[in-house]
Amino acid sequence: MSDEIVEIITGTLRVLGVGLLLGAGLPLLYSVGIRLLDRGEGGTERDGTVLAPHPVARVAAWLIFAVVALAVVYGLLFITKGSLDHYLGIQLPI
Amino acid sequence: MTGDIVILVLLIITAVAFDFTNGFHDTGNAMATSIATGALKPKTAVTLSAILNVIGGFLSVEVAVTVTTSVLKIQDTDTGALITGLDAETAMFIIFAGLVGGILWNLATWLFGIPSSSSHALFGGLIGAGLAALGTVGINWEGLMIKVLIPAILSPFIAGAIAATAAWLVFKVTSNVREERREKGFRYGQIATASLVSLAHGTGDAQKTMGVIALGLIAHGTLTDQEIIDNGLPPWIIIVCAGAIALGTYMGGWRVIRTLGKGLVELDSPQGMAAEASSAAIILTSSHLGMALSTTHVATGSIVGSGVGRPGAQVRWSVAGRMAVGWLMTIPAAAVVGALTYFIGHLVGGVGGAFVVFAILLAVGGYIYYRSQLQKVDAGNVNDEWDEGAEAVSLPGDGAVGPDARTGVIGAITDAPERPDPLRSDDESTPRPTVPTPSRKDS
Repeated sequence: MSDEIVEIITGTLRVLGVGLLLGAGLPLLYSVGIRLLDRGEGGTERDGTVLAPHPVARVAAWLIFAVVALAVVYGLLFITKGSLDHYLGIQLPI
Repeated sequence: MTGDIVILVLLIITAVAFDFTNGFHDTGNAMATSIATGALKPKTAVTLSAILNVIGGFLSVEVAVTVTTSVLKIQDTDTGALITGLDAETAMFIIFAGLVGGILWNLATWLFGIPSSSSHALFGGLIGAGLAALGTVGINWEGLMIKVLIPAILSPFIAGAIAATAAWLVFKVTSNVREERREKGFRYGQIATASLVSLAHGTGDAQKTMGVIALGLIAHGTLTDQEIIDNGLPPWIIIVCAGAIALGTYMGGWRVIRTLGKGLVELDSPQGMAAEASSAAIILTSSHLGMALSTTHVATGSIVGSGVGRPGAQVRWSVAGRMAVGWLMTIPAAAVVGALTYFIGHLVGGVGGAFVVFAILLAVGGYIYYRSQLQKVDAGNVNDEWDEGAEAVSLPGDGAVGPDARTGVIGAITDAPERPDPLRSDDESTPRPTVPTPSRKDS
């Protein structure tokens, strides 16, 4: 039984770790993207100050969105890798 | 053996019905947050989720026919073949009665709007039927503890912690972003994460019913475990199961969606995305990390967590508490139904027994459906203000379900004055069927 308890604890910690990395890390990244996009567009801020558009921030925002999108695509390939192999014979190295 | 084939056919129909309830019970896990925040219109959300569930169903190529092994000892744990000494009729009746227990518990929890795990309902039904048929030796107690109970207790906390962290970070980072841009930006993220959860649901849950049907065929002798290893599942099983879970999803378990999206916590886009991202991450990775967690427990934990993590948000702990009670009851309650069903079927015996069991399923299922129509929740009112005390999720003792004419509580949702609802599209704003409930005036 003690082996199983160790297994449960390590399983929980792994799920928690990976979950935090992907489940909280990616939303964090996405939020940074949204904040940069907002800054990039400029305009009137919440406190009334007017900011000029900031092209660098906008580019950075879209780069971040691209990274998040890649992570999602990776997730999709991960779910479908067995089927891709089964139906199309494509073996993914993931 | 002609009798056996009739039992098998009834078993398969029941399995497909279970798959259907699995679909509509779990739509909310993926789509409740997007519906509640307005990222997707209710009908659009369930359609998208249904399509992704079909795709997910077809992606299930490595189906585990060992579906019962975590709770019962009726199958070889490697091949999925029946253990020796178990005759076909007994095995089929165990599966059949287990499915009936699962379906009836799914319908009952749906009536009260409680998101409960369909896998737990099925496991509960199987445990009850297994106990009734074989006694305690037929149960895999260790598997029940390690693969079912402990993960179920841990998963809402794991999901809640991750979603709370995500929500807190998201609000921290975007606190200065203008409101409309923030809402808009996170809606895309919400739709993407909800889609991932739907797809994962189709792959994971449709597979369970495929496994159950395959097991029925193995028990009957039509299919052998070796044939499945060599050629995969017969395609009709995949088509029927993917179709049934998608149809169920499309019907939308609006009662459960309402509880998840409106009852637990008021959601907005950033929070909805944090919750769904946490669900997607956990559901997609947990089974690969050696811990299979229930979609329902994870999704609910994530939504509550997103409320805990968001500064200033209020979680309705009373609703969460009722859900927790529902979860604790799932396995025992489904087990009682599974055991009773097995006894009745076994007592009558053979084909007659199978028909009696099927008739009971239809009668009880029909009654629950009838009760649900007394206080309808549908695409039109799924997002109405939460009115604690008049909700379907209230327990019968609260007087909310059941035609209690004196209090007039019933129908509170449907009788509420029409408010402009930005989410309602034209086709959904057509008058809803009148609800045949006694109003205060009638009493």
